[in-house]
Amino acid sequence: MNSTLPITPETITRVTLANGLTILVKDNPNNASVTLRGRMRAGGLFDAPPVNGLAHFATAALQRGTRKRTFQKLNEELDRFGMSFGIGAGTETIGFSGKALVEDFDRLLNLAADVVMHPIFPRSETEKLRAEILANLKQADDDTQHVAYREFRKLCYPASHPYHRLSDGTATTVKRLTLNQLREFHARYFRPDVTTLVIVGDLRADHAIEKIERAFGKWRARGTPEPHAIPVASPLKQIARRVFPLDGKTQADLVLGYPGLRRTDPDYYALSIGDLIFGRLGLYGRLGENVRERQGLAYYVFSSIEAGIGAGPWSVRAGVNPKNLDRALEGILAEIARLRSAQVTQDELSEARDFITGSLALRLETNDGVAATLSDIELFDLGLDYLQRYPQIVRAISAEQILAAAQKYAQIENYALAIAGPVDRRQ
Amino acid sequence: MSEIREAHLDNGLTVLLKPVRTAPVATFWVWYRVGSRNEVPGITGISHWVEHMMFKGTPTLSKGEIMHLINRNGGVDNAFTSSDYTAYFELLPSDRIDLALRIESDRMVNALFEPEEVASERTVIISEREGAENEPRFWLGEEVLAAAFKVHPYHHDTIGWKIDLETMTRDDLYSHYKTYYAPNNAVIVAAGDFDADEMLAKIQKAFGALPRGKDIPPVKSVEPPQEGERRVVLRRPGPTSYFHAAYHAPKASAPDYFPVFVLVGVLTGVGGMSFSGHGSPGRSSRLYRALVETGLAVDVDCSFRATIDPGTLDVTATARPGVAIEKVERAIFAELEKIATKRITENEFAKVLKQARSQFVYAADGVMNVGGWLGQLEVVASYKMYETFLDNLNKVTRADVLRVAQKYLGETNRTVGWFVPSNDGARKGRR
Repeated sequence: MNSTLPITPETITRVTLANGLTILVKDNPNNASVTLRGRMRAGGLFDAPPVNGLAHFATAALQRGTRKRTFQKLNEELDRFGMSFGIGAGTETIGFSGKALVEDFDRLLNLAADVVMHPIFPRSETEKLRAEILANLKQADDDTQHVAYREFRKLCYPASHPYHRLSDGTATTVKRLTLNQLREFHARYFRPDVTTLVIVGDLRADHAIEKIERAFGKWRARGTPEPHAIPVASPLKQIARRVFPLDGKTQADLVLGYPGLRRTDPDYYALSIGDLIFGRLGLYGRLGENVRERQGLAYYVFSSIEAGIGAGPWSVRAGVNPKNLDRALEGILAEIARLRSAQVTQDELSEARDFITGSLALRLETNDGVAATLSDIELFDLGLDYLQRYPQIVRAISAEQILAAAQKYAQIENYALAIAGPVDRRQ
Repeated sequence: MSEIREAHLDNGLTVLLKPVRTAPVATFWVWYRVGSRNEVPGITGISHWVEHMMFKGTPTLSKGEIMHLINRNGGVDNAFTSSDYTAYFELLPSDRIDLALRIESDRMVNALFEPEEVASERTVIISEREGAENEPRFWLGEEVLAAAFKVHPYHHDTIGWKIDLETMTRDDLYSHYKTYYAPNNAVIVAAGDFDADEMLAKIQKAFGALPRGKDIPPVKSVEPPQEGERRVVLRRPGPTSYFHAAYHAPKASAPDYFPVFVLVGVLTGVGGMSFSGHGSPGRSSRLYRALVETGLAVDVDCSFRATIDPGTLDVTATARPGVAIEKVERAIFAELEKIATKRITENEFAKVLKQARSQFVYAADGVMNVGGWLGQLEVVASYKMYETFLDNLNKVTRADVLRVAQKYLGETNRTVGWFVPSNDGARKGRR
């Protein structure tokens, strides 16, 4: 079998249309479907605090009615052809994705273009959506993992920073958003020159591009796009700890962490391999070994780096019985201290490198996996030869670099910690 | 696509191989025919706990070594337990797949169950249950299941009752393992980039010498027909009300399986066809339009798992905060009555068929899904169901769908559960 990488400068067709829309196509004849993935450099980062949730609400509303399709007609079309399509806004990007059999690809493409370019924000459907968003927010208020994470973000980033808030907003802000604000958001931020469209599936690149040009070619934007940037977040200067009691819960969920780094930061690979060893590899790395395996305190305890356009958080999440909360926290902090005080062993490092490089094939096994990887390569400007360079990048990272990154980003004296569950405020 | 190769070793091990030579990746699965269906009071949750113990080492592969080997070879592995099976899988670069055979053949018979490992895993398992307990839906589901099945072990959830997790012993676990883990109670499924003859020879070499186990104790319980509606009401703190109705439904190998599959497709859409039998609801489906579009519910779903014994068809919904749960129930029952009164339309039927066909193609992208589907279907019915699934759906008629709707969706066949919030939100919600 041909074991060359599916993503190289030779296997990917990349073009930019006259209107600025970037297209990446990978032909995969092995499955009779097509995956479409779009990403725009826009999102909740553009929401000022009083309109927190605007990007999220406006984007979700696009599917509620377009020039050519009512909400019901659009749903009927998707279901009748066994297609899927969804669109949503995060803090940094707005993403849409769809899937169809090859024979229905034109249909999916036209539907996607209609949604992205020609939403009409019909009043009654948009109000229904508002009620759904408010209901979801109310449910999220009762979800211990969600509350812990949401509150962690407030503690970790200052109120002026876009990461202080989650992109879906709050009941107060969502109730106040007007239809005009939704329309304006779409008119201002949805533009071809900030959009990338990735197509992976059983069709020739030139055909795919022709079809995309037909569907999206008339999309126009005025002026230049807003700068897509996230301000720097300063390191924490103290322990910021908050406890949120919730009724009727058995388990307390916690999030402990720091502002991390950008995806394009030179420290990214060192910190990311350090994080893998610290709280992910196998069954949650060193954290899992200590807190789950050795002490039996938690079913889940893991770490993650959300390195994006801005310095997203580096955090540990765990769910524990409230009576074990202190012991679990001690275990987590002890592992942070260890990561900061001594180099990871050569054994740990080589295992992490082997895993990262070896498992690449697994992530590229499906159309969806290839599309997601391509979309990241484009967003962070990594280059189509990225996967070819990737093993060398990973192998070049040393234990010294990991230690330096851990010392730079993690601290024992200063961290943000939020706990939600059957706990006392004084805990 | 290539054919599925079926083989049986002398020790009773079933082997299913599906070469898929599109990416340099292979997946290896072992499915044991044991789950919470094989458990009795006092040891509920034991199958799931045994699954956890399979990662704790054997005399030749110490605890943690399995994990390190998988990492070193750029693979991923995991396991899961349901009412009917316990499944283990590895996904590896195809030139490393031998590792999976080594791990799985070893732990099929040699797992250690050291007492200190059992002790530290007890609290991990309890923590897993406590995480689920934070979800109102978990409590309601457990309550409804317990009322719907009074005789059959589908009565309890796979995680098990907490008291059993607190009290069962190392010997209980080990004896469960020794009873059910044997080649004659297992199905191997491999899919991916390999040659079928070579893979079969490797499997013969790794598993062929393992001794056949004793005959597996049969599950004799048969749930008697339900003779009247059952109701459970749960009052706990929560953000809103939740609804769950369970109807006794046919097993996967029954002729009615396919008409019910279509019925569910019309009610909720054929969502992502992962082998859990659960997907996101189609927004043009009857239930979405009647419940979510009308503003009564935040979400609604209908699920129907393929099971060894007759299981349930479950309709669940989350009431929009402020909407009385009675209203949600009335709207759901009205839809179910409608579908049991009048034939579904040609258009609805065609939609379900097309959705199923698409979902089959999507699910065949990637070898993991293929391995999962084949194994699950073999355990609950036959892997041949995979190859004939779409043909069998095509044979269903609209009259069949009406017939099964009348047969299964009746009032006497249902258990209705309400989760009613007991805190302030509740009082608001009741008005």
